[in-house]
Amino acid sequence: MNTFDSQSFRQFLGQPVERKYDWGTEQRFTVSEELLVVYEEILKETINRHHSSFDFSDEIAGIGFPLAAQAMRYRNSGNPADDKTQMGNLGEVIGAEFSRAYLGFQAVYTYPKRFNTNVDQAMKGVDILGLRAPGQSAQLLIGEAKCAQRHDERLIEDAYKHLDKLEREESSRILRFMKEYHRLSGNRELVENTDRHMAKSVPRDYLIISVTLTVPRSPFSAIAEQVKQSPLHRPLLAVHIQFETKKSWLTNLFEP
Amino acid sequence: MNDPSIRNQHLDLVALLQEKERAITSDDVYSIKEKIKDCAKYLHNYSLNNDGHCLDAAFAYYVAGYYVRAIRLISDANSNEEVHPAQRWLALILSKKFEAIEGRAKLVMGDAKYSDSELAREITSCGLSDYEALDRILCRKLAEAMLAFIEFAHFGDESKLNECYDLLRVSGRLCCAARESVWWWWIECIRLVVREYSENCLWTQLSSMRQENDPMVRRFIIANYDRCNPDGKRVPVVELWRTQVKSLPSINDPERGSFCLAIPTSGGKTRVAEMAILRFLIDYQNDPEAKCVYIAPFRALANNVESEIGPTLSAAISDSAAEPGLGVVSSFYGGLEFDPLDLDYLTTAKVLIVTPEKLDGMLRSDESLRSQIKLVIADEGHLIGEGDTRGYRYRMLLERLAYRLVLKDTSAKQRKGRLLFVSGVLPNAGEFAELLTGDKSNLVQIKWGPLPKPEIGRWTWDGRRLNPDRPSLPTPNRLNPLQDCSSPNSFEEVLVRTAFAVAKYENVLVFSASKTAIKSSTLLALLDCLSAKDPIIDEENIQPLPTELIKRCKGKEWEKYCSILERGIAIHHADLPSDLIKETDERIRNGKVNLLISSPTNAQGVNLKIGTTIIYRLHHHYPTLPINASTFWNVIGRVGRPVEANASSDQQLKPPRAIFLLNASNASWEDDECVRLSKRLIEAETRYRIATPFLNFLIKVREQWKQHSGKGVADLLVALAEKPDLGWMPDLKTRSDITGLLHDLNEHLAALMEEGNVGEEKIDEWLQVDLARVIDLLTGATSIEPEDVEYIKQAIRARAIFVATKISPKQRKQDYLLGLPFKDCEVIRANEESLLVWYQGCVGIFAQEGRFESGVESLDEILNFIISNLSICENAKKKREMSVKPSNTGPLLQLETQGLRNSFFKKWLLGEDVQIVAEVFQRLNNNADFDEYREAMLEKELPRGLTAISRYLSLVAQEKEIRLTKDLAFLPSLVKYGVSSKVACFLARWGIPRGVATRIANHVALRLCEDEYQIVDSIKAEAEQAKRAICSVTESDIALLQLNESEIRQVRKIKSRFQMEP
Repeated sequence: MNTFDSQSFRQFLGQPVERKYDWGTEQRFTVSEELLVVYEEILKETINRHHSSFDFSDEIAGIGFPLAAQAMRYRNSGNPADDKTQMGNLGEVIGAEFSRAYLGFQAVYTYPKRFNTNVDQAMKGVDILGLRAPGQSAQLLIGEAKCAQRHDERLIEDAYKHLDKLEREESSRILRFMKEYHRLSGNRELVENTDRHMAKSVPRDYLIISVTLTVPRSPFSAIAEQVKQSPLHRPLLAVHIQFETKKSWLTNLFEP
Repeated sequence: MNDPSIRNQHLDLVALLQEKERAITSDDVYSIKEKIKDCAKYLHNYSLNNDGHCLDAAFAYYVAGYYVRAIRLISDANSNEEVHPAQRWLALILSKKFEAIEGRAKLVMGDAKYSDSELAREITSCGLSDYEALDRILCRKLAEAMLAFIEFAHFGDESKLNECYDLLRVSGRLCCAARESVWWWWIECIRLVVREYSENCLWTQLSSMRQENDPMVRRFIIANYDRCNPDGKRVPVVELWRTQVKSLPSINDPERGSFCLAIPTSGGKTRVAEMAILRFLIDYQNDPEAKCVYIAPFRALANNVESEIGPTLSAAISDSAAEPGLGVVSSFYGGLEFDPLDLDYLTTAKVLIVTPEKLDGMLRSDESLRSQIKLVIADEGHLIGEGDTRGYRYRMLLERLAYRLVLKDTSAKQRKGRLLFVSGVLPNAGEFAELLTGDKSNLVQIKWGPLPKPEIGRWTWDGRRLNPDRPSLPTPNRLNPLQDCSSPNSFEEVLVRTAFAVAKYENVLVFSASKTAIKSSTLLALLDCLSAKDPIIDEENIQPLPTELIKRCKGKEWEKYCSILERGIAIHHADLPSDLIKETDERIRNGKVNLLISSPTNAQGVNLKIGTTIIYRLHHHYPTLPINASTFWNVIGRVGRPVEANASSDQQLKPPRAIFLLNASNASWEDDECVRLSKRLIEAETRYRIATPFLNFLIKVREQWKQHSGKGVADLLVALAEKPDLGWMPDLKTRSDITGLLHDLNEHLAALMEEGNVGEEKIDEWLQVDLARVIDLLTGATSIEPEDVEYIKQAIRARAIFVATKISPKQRKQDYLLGLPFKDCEVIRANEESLLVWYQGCVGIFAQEGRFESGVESLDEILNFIISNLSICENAKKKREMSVKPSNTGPLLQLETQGLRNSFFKKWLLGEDVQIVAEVFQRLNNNADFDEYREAMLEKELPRGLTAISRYLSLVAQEKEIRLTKDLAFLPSLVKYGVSSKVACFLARWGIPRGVATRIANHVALRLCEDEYQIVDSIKAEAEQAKRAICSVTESDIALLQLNESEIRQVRKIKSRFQMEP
């Protein structure tokens, strides 16, 4: 079964409606119910893959062992069963895919959720982390993701405050987990790439992603207030994505 | 490879495999395969203590097309139970253990633990690990793939091959997804092996033949898949070697042209011949008369060929498992006669395996056979370059066949026959292609061989020790002590000690061009003594010889041959009694001989599983005739070859060694000659030329003419065209020698005319048109110097004119039918009247009652005539060095009175016990060796002479309008088998002892004479009558006839064989 790549994810979200603000840029996407149905399997597999490295159940099923494939997939699944955690993790998965597909950051080669010691608890730390590929100028993407049934300005405020706090945090601390992950994988190139992004001089971009099932008139109005109190030193990209579906549909995506 | 590391070898191997997948032309593929072979060799050298590398090497050898090397390597790797499951499958495929593959695959398929539901259950409930689950899934998929593969290999269903590929592909994909690199690599290896297999398997390679006759080719391929060796062990032949694949276009040539096949010894020639025969069977499927003739110049080779191709070709033709010898593939060898029993086999046979001598007799006896022969396969073709009678006769026979089949003009509608000339040692193959097919491009010459070439070197004895000429061929650490055994010939002692030292760890062939050297009584005594005191085989491996053989050899020089044979040592030369040869051959074939001391005759004829060859003597008849390069290289090529190409071997891939054993201690001239000759032979490996020296006698004729007549060559040519002999030559000895050769030439030209149907009215045309072609045929690939060629051609022309114009057509015909030396023909002609009277008198033998005695008397007269007058008997006596007494000059069998002589033959024909017959013989011949006499005369020369005379007298009777009964044709068989009736002839031919055959025939004749046992008048009916006779033998008959146990077994065996026939 496939997972999203940049092209398929761009086809999934489509073109944004963009507005410029003093604090940065707002992009709004709407994914229709029909399109969600079309991409249901790929979305489901992407969520699975973000939570587990077990990725060959399709091949096992395809070779004539569907029951064994299902049993292995179930056993290896890291998907949360808790409602809130599911919504939170969905936002983070969408945020990571967005960062790769629309912003060109390497944001999906670490899967922190695979290492969550309690799958039903939200993970600590930065929601979205993106690095430039080796060979490109170093640049760090730090993002916060929120996912809820309905838009809630307080969530956007929390997200901004968290970014504001992270702006003062050293990159080496933010990227420590990522580096450890790559080192354990024995991937020297990615360890080196992470190291160069740990430098203090590396510029940062900030991202807030909000996924909801309803359409707010002004999803990021809360940011303007926050900026007055504590402005970020780099422009902010705020993305709102509306899934035209019901919450139960989203919950189904987390079935292993 | 430059980089010595094993890792780099693997990387190179992977790169080469990819390159091979991309290669387009077959030349590119073969070139890459050679590089893969180099990798395999490296990996093999590295693999001595590593099964994994050994399997890698075997795999690489296989995909490089070296299937035999792969199979030889695999046996050890296969034994380790710890190997990866996929490796095990790979090893089974490489070793062609198809039954094991099928069994193992079915076991996996039937085992619930490999099922989806069970796996799911164990994963969920028992904590089965992902790795174990994946292993089981891949095991199951491989089992499915293997079953599909087996189905394809056995029955050629291509959808199954595709299924196999699909299963391997999805399995490989799963391995990639699961990052199971080890599994992936072995599955990829299996895929590549299956691909190599599918490209070169019989199903693919014979697809064009299948389009023409699918059922026949299918049966052929399936029979090859089911092929067993004589021990009943499965040895499937499923793919073609490179040499065989490259020969196929010539086999399938739309014109069905003749061609010469020159591929190294052990390069797979027999299989090429087998496919050419299959091609013939398809081409002539609607012509029941068409026949293929496979000429095997040695009896042992004929035996090998029969067991190689008989079962598969029989299966191709018939649905039922036709038994070789009774069916469509029949062997005709042993003896020089052609009798009604042969004729019986000939009527059903489509493929005849013959020795040259036998085919010659058949052609002379059965005129219809000439036009029926559509394909001739001449094996060991290089023998026609031998400078002896055997070589000359083989060449003349092939010239006759080539002339008739290929070179002679035929009507446009009539398809020409086909000749396939096969040799493993033929550097000048183009010459032979031109000679026998008319075009030197009709040639398939490939220098590829499936096994490493032998390493050749020298061990020189300096009086104290052996010195090797290269470090790679070390001498034995210590020569075996002589244990109080000795020989007056110190170099003989060195030979035996060396051979014993090597034979302790591998099979040794001591090859000697000189028969005399290996017949030496001192050598025999030394072997006998040493083998008793320092045996080369363990006590428990000693297998006693059959009692009959021991009895037969007791008190004779053969006794020691028997005792050493039991201890794993064989001496083999053409003068051994036939039953000892048979036993020796059998033991060589079954690997029960560790040390074989052999003359070229045996060494050229069979496959020898030998690790080291010690080359002892290099002159045939020292010092006059050094061994020629082709004989030498043919023997070397055979050494170490697999007895079964597809069986694993303890020899692995160590190249066999061929070592000249040379003497530098008190070296004689002979020893020095051997040193010089050994160097020349090694240097000549690919540069020698095979050429017939036969016509060189004409040069001597010219020399003599110039010397004694004082006239020019033109006058000599006139004399050759007009005079029957060389009376002008003053020296009697020279004249006699050369006249013999001139008569051979006459006889050959007459045979060419006779078989070319050149009647009286066509003689002028033949002389003007065809003779030029004949002369080219006779002078091609000869050792005539260029400046002499024109004279030789003119001399042959002159002699052809003599044969065509000075010898009457009647005499030509008579001489052709006789097929004997000229002076024998003359004697027979001179005694025609008496012979005809005696011949007619022989009919009494077959009469129902009362005339047997007189019949035997008449036969006795003819036999005595043959013994007393024909040179063939005299020659046999000389050849065998028979010590028949009394010693006065005269016939071999000098019996005192006609009555006693008659008594001897009567006892022989009546099937009386050999002891009684031998006693009569010995009483009359000063205790001469009856067994030798029986073998040389009763079983060989007398039937041969009788057959020739029968042919001759049949023509005489026809001219005189005398009707002769067909029963007389059985006379040679009666003499050969020592029986008194036609039925008994058949029974003896089928292997029932002569005494028993006679008793059964008489017993059944008495009982059945009133009903079933009728007068019949065709060979088929005679054979049927004999079958009925044996089938009618009851258990009470057996009791009544007082047969011993082995006789009872044989009777029951033959009986059951015929009872099973439809």
